[in-house]
Amino acid sequence: MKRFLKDFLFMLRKDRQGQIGFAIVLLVLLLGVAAPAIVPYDPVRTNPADHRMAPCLAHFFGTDEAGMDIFSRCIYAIRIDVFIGFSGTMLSLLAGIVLGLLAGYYEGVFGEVVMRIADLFQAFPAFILAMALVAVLGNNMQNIIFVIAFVNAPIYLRFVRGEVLALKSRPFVEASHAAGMSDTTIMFRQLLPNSLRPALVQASVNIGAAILLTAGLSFIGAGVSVPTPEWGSMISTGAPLILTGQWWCAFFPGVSIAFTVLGFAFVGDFLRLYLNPERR
Amino acid sequence: MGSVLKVEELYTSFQVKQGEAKVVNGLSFEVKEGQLLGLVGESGSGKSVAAASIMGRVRKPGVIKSGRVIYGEEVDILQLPEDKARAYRGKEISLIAANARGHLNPLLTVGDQIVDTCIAHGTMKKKEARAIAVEMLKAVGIPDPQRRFYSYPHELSGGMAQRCMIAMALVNSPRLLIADDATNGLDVTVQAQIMDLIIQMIKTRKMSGVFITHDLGVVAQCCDEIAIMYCGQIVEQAAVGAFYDAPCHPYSVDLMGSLPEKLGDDSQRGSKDTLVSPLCLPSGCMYHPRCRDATKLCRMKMPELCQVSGTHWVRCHHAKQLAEKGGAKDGGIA
Repeated sequence: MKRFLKDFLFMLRKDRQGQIGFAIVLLVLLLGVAAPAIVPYDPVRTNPADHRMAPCLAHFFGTDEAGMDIFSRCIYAIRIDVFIGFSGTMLSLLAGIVLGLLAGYYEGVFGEVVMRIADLFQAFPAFILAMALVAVLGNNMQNIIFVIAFVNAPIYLRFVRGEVLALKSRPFVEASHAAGMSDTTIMFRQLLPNSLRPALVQASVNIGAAILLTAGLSFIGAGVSVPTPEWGSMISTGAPLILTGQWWCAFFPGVSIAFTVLGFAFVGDFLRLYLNPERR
Repeated sequence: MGSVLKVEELYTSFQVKQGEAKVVNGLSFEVKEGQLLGLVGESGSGKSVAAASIMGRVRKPGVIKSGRVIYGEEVDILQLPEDKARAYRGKEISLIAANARGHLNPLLTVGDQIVDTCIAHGTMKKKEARAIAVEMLKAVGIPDPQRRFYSYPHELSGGMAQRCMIAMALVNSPRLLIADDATNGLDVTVQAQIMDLIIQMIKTRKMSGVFITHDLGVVAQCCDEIAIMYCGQIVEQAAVGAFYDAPCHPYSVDLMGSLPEKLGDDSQRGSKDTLVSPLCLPSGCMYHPRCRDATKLCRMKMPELCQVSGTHWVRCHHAKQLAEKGGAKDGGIA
C-alpha cells in the first residue's frame, strides 16, 4: 500500500493535467463536505424580497426567481450531483466488471446470453432509457442511482470482457493454468487487474457523464425536484430568465457542472497513465 | 528406478480451416526417477504441443485425441476431472517456457507471483509463502532477493525474468520439471548460466526433468537420455552416449549433420527439404519424403520402434542394418 502511494505521488508530480484534475476534484469534494460551514444562506430558504438579484457581495452568484442564494445552492448541489454520479458509476462499474469477467472467462452460452442482454440495453439511447426507467421506478435519489448504474453497466461489461478475451490466451495466463491455479484465482488475480484499465479510465470520465445525466434528468423534471439544490433543475428554472437578462440563474450551475466534469475527465486521463506500470 | 512420467500413444491435433493438423502422432516415452530426458526435434515437430498435452493444457482448437499421461505409478492425468488434474499441475509437474517475461503477469511483482503459485496448492499462509518466495529467489541466484521481491517483470532483464520463472516452477518442489526451450531468446552466456541453474536445481532437489530443445549440444552436455522427435512421434531414443556415438535413424543422422561444426564436412549430410505439413502427413514412414535412403517399404508401411541395442530404439525399417554398420555415419544404407 505504501509503495502504491509512493508510485502514485511520483507519477502525479510529473503530470500537470493530472494535478489540475485532482485539484478540481478535491476542491469540489471539499466544498461538498464542508458546505454547511461555507454557504452564507440556507440553500432552500426563499426570500421573495431579494429575488432575481445580480451577483453582488451579499450574493456572489446572485439570487433566483424565488430569491434563493445561487452560490449556496450551487455548493449544496455538489452533495446531490456528485454523490449520485459517483455512486451510480461505482455501482455500474462493479456490476460491469463482475459480469464482464464472467462473460469473458466462460465464453459459450453464458457469455452469449449476457452479451445479448447488454446489446438489448445499449440499443436504446442512454438518456431515453434513463427517462423511461425513472418514469417507471419513480424519481427519487436512490432510483436515479440505480438507473445510472443500469444504463452504464453494459459499457464496462464490454470493456472488461474484451480485455479478458484478449488476455486469456496470453502466456502468463496459460502459465497460471500450468501452475495449477484455480479459476477464481486466475480470474481475480491474473485477469482482473490486467483488464481494469480501460474500464477505470472510462469510469472516471463517466462520473462526469453520470453527473450530466443526473442534471439532464432533473432539467426535464424527471430527476431531483425543486427546491432540492441540484444543478440541472437550477438550470431548468434559470433558463427562461436568460431572455429577461438574468443570465446568472442558469450560468453558474452550468459552470459548476462543466468545472466538475472537467476535473473528473483530467483524473481519468491521469489514471490511464498511472494504471500502466510500463509507462511509469 | 520407478517411473515419474509415462506418456503412451499420445495423439493431439488441431481442427483448422484447412482440415485436421495432426501435430502429435502416437508419442510415447518414459521418464524415470532422477532422469533427465532431452526431447529434440526441429521447429514444428510437435515438441511444445507435446509439453502442453502432458500438462493437459492444449489451447483451442487443439484437442488431445487419445493417449495416456501417467504420472507416478497409477494416475492418468488426462482422465482426471479438471479440479483434480489441477492439483498435479505446478505441484507435481512444473513447466518452464521460453519468453519468461511474457509468462509473468505484468501487473504483479515477481514476489507476489511466486507467493500466488505457492498458495495455489494447499493451505499455506501468505506470510510463510513470502518467506519461501524470498528463499526461492535467493536460491535461483537473484541478487538482493528482499528488494527484487518487489520488482515488476518489466524491471528485470531477460535472464532475471527466467530465473524468477524457475523459482516459480520449483517453489512447490515438483517431482518433474519440463523445460520447454527454456533458454530460447537469451544471449549465449546467460543461456549457459540458466541451463546450469536448471540442472543444478534438478540435481540438488532430486527431481526428474524433460528438456525440450532443438539444441543437440545442450542435450549432450546435461541429459541422460535423448529422444528425437519427428512429426509428433519419437523416431529414435537412446542413452546420450550411445546416441552420439552412433545415431541410427536417417533423421538423426541428418540432424547431426546440420551441426555448424560439421557443415563443411562433405561426408556429413544436412537434411534436405523442410518438415512435412501436419495437415497431410505422408503414408508409411513419416520421414520418407525427406529420407535419402527411402525404399518402397518406407513409403508403404509405418515402421515400429525397434530395439537395436540395450537402450537404443529406432523407428526405421532399416534400423538393424544401420546399427550393424555402426550408425549411418558413412552415408546411409543405400
